[in-house]
This record gives sequence, C-alpha cells and structure tokens, in this order.
Amino acid sequence: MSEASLREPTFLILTALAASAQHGYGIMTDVAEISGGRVRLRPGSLYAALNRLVMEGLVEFDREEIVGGRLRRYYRLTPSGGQRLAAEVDRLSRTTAVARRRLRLLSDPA
Amino acid sequence: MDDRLRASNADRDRAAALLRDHFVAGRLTRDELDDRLAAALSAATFGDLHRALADLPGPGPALLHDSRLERGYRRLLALYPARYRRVHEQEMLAVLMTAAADGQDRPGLAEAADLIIGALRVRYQALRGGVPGWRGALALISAGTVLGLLASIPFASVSPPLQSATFHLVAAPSRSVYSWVNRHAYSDMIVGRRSEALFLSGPATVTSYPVLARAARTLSTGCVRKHSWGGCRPVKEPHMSVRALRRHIHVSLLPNHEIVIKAEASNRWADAKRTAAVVADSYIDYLSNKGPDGRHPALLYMSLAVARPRSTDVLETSALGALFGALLGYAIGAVALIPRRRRLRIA
Repeated sequence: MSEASLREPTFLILTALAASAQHGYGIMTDVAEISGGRVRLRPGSLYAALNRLVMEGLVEFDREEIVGGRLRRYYRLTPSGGQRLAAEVDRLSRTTAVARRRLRLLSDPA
Repeated sequence: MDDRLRASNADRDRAAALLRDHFVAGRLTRDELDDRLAAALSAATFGDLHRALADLPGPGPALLHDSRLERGYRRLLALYPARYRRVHEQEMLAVLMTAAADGQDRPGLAEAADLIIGALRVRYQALRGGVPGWRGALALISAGTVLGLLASIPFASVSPPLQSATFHLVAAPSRSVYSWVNRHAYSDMIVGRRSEALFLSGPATVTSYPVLARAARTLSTGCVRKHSWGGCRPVKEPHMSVRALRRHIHVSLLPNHEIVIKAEASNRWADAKRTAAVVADSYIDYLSNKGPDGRHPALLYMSLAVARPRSTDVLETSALGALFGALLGYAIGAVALIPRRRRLRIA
C-alpha cells in the first residue's frame, strides 16, 4: 500500500498536520489555504479520510479541548505518517524535476 | 452557547424578531420593546442578546438557531456506524456548526451529500478494517441487497414489457363532489327522475356502438377534438373498425364507481395508451351530448388517470436485483473475509 501514490486530499491533510497538531476545522481551513483555495474539504470527506489515515497508522489522536462548549479533537502525524509524506514529497519532486527538464527541452529544442 | 461569543447580524435579527413576537403577545410595553430592540440590535455578544431577551419565555436566539441546524446535522450523522459516532459525533458536530454559514438553519444539499458519502466510506472502512466474522459478512450482504435493489429500479422503469394501458374515469374530482354525485344520482335513479346514471351505465355505455364508432373514426382519420391528456394525436390507423376496437378494449366497473378502460396494443404501450384515451374521450363526449335535460355534463367532472402497469414489474425486477446484490455481497464477503480467517489461524 505504501508504494501507491497519495491522492491529493490525503496529501494535503498530511501536509496540514506536518508542522503541528490540528483539529478538524483547522485542517479544513489549512487545506484550503495550502491548495490556494482549490481544494475545499467538507466535513464528511475530511473525517472519512482521517478515519482511514488513523486506521493505516499515519495519523493519531493528539489531545482534546472544549472551546465554547464544543469538543475539539486534535490530530497529529505519526512517525510513519511523516515518513509516508516525506516519501511522497520525494516522489513528487523527482517527477516535477523530470517534467521541468523536459519542458525546458521543449521550449529550447537546440 | 458561550455568552462571550460574538453575535452575527443574523443573530441580532433573530433576537429582534423574538422581541417583536413578545410585544405582540403582550409581554412587553411599547417603551420596553424600543429599549430592548435598541439593545438587541447593538449587541456585540450572545451575552448582550441574552440580556435583551431576559425574563422572557421561550428559546433564546442562539438556542433557536442552533437547535434546528444541529438537529439536521445529527440526523445525518446518525448514518455513521454507532461505534464511530460514539467517538466522533460531538467533534464532527462542532466542525459542522463552525463551518455553517451565518444564519443557516438547516443542512444544505451538498453538505447532506457529503455526510452521506462520508458515512458510506466510514462504514466501508470499518468492514475492511476487519469487523469480525459473520457480522462483517452480514453487513456486506445487506449492503449488496440495498445496492442491488437501488440499481435495479432504473432498469425496471426503463424497459417494462408494456402492452396495455388503463384509463380510470371517476365521476368527480374531489371526495365531497364525488359523494354528492353518488348520493344524488342514486336517489334520482330510485325515484325515476333520471334514467341513466354514469356509474351504473358505465361499462355498457363505454362499449356501446356510438362511443366506439366515434373512437374508431378518430383513430382512423386523426384528431377530432383535443383534450388535455393528449390522447388525440393526428395519426391514422386505417383498419380500426368498431369490431376490432371492441376486441382491444376492456371496460370494467369497480365497486367504487370507477370506470376502468383498458386498451391493448400488440407491441407498443403508446398505441395502447392512445386507444384507451380516444375511447375515454369519445365516451365523455357521448355523455356530454346526451342526457334529456342537458344536465348530465354538469355531473361529469371526470378525473382521468393513465395507469401504467409498472409496479409489479418494478417489484419483480427489484427482487431480482436484491437477490443478485445479496449474492454479490456474499461473494465479496467470502473473498474478503476468508484470507483474514486464515491469517488468524496462522497467528
């Protein structure tokens, strides 16, 4: 399973959690920001993705807070989640490097 | 709701509306209303709003707002597995309420779709994550049944083998007129003031020669008169004699004074429908021009329905779909669950 590339929402969620633990709504706004407003996760898809990531051991519970009478549960990356994200970043950067090289050949065929 | 939270324009409007209601109900004088309205409309926090609504019965502005929206979200969250809900419901509710638009009072369509799909995904994940043995298999079978059922409905409604169409004529559009028609026509019959009542003469009259002759003429030569149910298109069916028509038409009288005109066509439902419509049309026309005192038409408020014999087909196809889905679910379950059991044995 670890060889398969991550789908974009998953990639963005892991990225949102890379620097620090976040709660659900925090992840939603962060994902929108990272993707420049292009990907807007809704709660249903966010929590389905989080559930899968927790089951796969890439993400885990961090802590809970009560704010304004409402429960906030924070999630953080596990070590293997960090590795998975790093591997994906490597893979993507290798691909983009190749793409960039070839685009240069295209614009500069000499 | 925390009193320190900031109030929105929608919250202030809601509080103002509540105050006006209380004024109308006589709980506030004009002066009190003005004071409290000023306070409510300049409120910065929910605490200010609650003070403006102090000592008045009923829900506060936040409660009124939240409860309906929250109830809507809870209803959708009920689709998630119970075990998941125990851990995540409060948390998801918090996210949903935070993400909700200002003044929103029910979940939107996109939100509902998102939660339904999310619930399905979480359920599927729970299955893959290894719900033990027979419960997992049962869940797969039931999911397969539901999916098979849903998938079969379009098929059932797209290609039912339809060769007959049924028109129902009822003597009145509403129950009250209907019973009035029944009562009066019946008593008229009994005292001999009327020689013919619609529901009693129905079957015989529908298949009577003038009615069928007119219908045959319409079917053979095109449209004579247009009715809103559109049975009368200018199409020609050259060999439609009264005798042939009589073979294609079955008329029956139901105990509730409903006249059922059923037409058959050899291959196409549209043909059958047109035939039934033309006969019904001709029958109504016949009765409208008949009647010694010309009062018949006044009683003939026909309500007309085309019945397409679909329900049994849907039922049959759906049952097949459900069976197929259940088998598929069982097969998937067998494939997905057997390796897990083996792994357990090894461990």
